[in-house]
Amino acid sequence: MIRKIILGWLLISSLLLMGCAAAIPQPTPTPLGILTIIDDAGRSVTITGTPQRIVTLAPNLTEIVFALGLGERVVGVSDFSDYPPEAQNIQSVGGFPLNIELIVSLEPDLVLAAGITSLEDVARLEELGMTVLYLVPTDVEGILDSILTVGRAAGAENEAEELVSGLRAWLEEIKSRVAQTDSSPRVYYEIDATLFTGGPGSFTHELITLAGGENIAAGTTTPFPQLSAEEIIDADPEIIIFSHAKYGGTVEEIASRPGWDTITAVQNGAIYPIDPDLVDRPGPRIIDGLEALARLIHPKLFE
Amino acid sequence: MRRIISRHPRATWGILGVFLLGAVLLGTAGGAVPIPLERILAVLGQELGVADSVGDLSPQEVAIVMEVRLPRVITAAVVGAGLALAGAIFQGLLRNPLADPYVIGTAAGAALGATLAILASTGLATFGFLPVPAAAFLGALLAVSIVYRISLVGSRTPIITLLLAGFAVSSVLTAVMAFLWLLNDVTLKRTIYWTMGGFSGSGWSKLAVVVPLLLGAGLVSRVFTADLNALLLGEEAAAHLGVEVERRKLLLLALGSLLTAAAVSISGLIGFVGLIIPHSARLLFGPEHRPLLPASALIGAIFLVLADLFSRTLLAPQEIPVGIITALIGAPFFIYLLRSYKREYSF
Repeated sequence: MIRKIILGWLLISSLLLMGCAAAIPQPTPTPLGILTIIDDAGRSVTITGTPQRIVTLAPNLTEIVFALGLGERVVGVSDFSDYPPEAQNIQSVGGFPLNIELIVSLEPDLVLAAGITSLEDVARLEELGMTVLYLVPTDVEGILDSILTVGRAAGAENEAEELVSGLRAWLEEIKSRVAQTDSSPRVYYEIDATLFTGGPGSFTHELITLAGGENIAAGTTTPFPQLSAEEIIDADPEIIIFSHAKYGGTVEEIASRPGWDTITAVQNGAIYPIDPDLVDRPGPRIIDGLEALARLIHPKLFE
Repeated sequence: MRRIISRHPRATWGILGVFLLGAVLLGTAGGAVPIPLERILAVLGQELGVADSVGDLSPQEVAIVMEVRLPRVITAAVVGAGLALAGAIFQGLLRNPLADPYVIGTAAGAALGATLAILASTGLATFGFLPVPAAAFLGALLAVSIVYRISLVGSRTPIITLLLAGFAVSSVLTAVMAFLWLLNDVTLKRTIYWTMGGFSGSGWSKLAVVVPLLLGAGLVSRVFTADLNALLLGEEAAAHLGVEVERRKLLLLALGSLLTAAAVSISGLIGFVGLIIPHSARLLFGPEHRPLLPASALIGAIFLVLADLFSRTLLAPQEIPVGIITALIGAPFFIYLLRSYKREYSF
């Protein structure tokens, strides 16, 4: 009996292994040749030919690939890849944890991974024969670089250059408008009702600063610090921007918190919701996010 | 110590009262934004109408002291009193030194009840409203009766079965809660923070619902001190003394669950207060429940006000969840109790 079980198990697992082996794409050299890219984990990634089957493991990477006009080549996306809307029709490969089996079955020739994917998972995917590019931008400049890198890797270099130069021109335009004013209102950016905010090292902080605001969490030491209600009252922000409207956050709830009626933003009704995907997601819409913030912080400059 | 206390009961209560007042003042004085003590006192004096108003107080200072810190400190005091009182009642009722709202599943039951209520009432913005404490109460009552039934051997609840039953029931309830979060990440996101325990969202409006509940339950507990004393002798002996054991047991279970639920519904899950405080009170006042219950409540209030002060100031502006502080103090105490009672672990 036991022998039979063992034999059966051996048979099944060897079949599975053969299936895996068959699924691993064999690199086929093409005239385009071989490209080597140093990714954000400092690894040297070799890409052979032009990738035709791309899997993106983070929503911002999905957005980048689509913005480069390569949406049709995407065969798998991570959970929460909700933009552009077409991305929602593509096979999801999970988020936490990744469904590695499913990724293998999609036979991708390029996998794009971001910070939410652990380096262990990256190594695992590479063991399975996949080409993985790890992109972890830390500021707006880094996001633009990521777009260029994806463009190079996917054979859409010209499209990437064009996209980035457009974004950069727009960024400069916003910067020059903001430079026209000396005022920099105190801004409190709220991620959730337990008073988490964006501190130095977060995109939020960089964008608030670029948009001509003074982040009241500028003195904190972590990217996502939690403030106490009394610190916020003491800092007296002139503008409150919150990103948890889809989790039930409302202007009324924020304004009615005990003691908050002394805050200038509450007294002036300067409490605004914002779509967090524009501000937190290091993708091609980041300059939209910057403009949205700048319009809230300096409305007169955008009349 | 105990002798001194029994000789000077009034002085002891006076000292405890002064300690509580001191803790409340200390809690109000400390926080992420440094405000000098004399300005705190000036705000308190002005707002409570005991001193002349001081002209140069900023509205921010008044708001921080009166709307943020004071309600928070009072919430901590009320929750500490409620949890400690519930612990004292459960320990007396189950004749078991390790009974506490956390260990015997009441807290997990209350948390699950509250989670379900929040889930059912999507869109209601605050936790202070009545359905949540009510659901928490039902959950707590249900959990503790299940644990009690499972751990009953004859008419006693031996430590080992009580601990195991409490652990098993709590695990199941917590797992159900985690499963609900998984299905409803948007609606229930805030309950995750809530189960970590803490007072950061405290305000007067939530206190207005829970304080009458806790105060009422605290006063009612005075009625049961004689029953609890009789139950210390064992259920049979208590019955011989004329106590309607089963009825009283049910009422006491309900009372302890109500106290736990009221506390848990505004502060989330805060462990160990209900365990270590009644024991400390017993060391000071002896096992008689007439002084033990109010002493537990008072010491619980002082303890949690100070624990919350530490949680706000040790790493300020970062807040340490108060449950970490109570666990750091409470868990070693729990282990000490386990070791002193280990003779009972016979197989």
